[in-house]
Amino acid sequence: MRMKGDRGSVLALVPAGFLVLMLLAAIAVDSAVTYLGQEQLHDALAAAANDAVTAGLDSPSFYGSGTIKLDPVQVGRAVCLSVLAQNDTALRQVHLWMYVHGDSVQVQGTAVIDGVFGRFIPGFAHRTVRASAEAVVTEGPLASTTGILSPAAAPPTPLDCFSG
Amino acid sequence: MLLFVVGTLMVANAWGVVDTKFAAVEAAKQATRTYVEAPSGAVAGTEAQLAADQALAGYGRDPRRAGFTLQSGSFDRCQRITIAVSYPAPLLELPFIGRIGTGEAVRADHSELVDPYRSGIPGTSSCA
Repeated sequence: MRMKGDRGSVLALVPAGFLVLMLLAAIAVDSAVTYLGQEQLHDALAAAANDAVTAGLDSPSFYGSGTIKLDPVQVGRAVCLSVLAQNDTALRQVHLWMYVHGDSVQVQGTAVIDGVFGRFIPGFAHRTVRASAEAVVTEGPLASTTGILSPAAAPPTPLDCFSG
Repeated sequence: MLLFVVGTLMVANAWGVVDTKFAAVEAAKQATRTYVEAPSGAVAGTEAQLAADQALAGYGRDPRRAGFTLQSGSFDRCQRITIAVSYPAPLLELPFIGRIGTGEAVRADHSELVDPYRSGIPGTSSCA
């Protein structure tokens, strides 16, 4: 049953409903963009850890005595070169940290992603994403059951890849 | 009503671009990984292209419409391989209807090193 005083209220409700739908659609797109950014950051870190764990090996030790020894300076350089080579323009204010722990390299990072529609709404313009990746150097094919890697004991080393 | 129609078209276009970017990012990553892990330089390019095609097909895209470029590097120890994959985004992507029209091309790059200590390549590592 419709009250006499309700007549005409649909004129206000329909545009309001459309606006809510548009807002939800915009949130869906921005969430997808954020997820894409996080995936790109993770891909960049995985490539960096994978590159660093071999490019960061101490070459004289490996060829001389067959010893696997990671050089933290070489590892840091390899991580920076790898992340810079990805050319991910969607990732801003990238901050990186690395752990070198025995024969493994762990790289962690954060980045800021700009929203597509969120930039028009104060407070929703950017979102920060974080990711991490770890690589272990082994000789020969990696066994399928490697288990969970032990957490790094040393504090992370921040990397300054983007200055200059 | 005009605002609603224009807004919906903008969202549908943005969704199409984002969805295509997901496919391109995955294709570039798989192609690069396949290239650096290939058994020899003779097959690296072909296998990388195949990996990109399969990744795109997995996302429901037609690999024949994709652009595949080896941006830098060659199959040698410590070489940085960068592969770019581009794919034209649809003008609109709508539920139940699918992709309509062709918009701008979306591109994704991925870069990895050929393992300096891998087997199958003559010589020794020079990058580390």
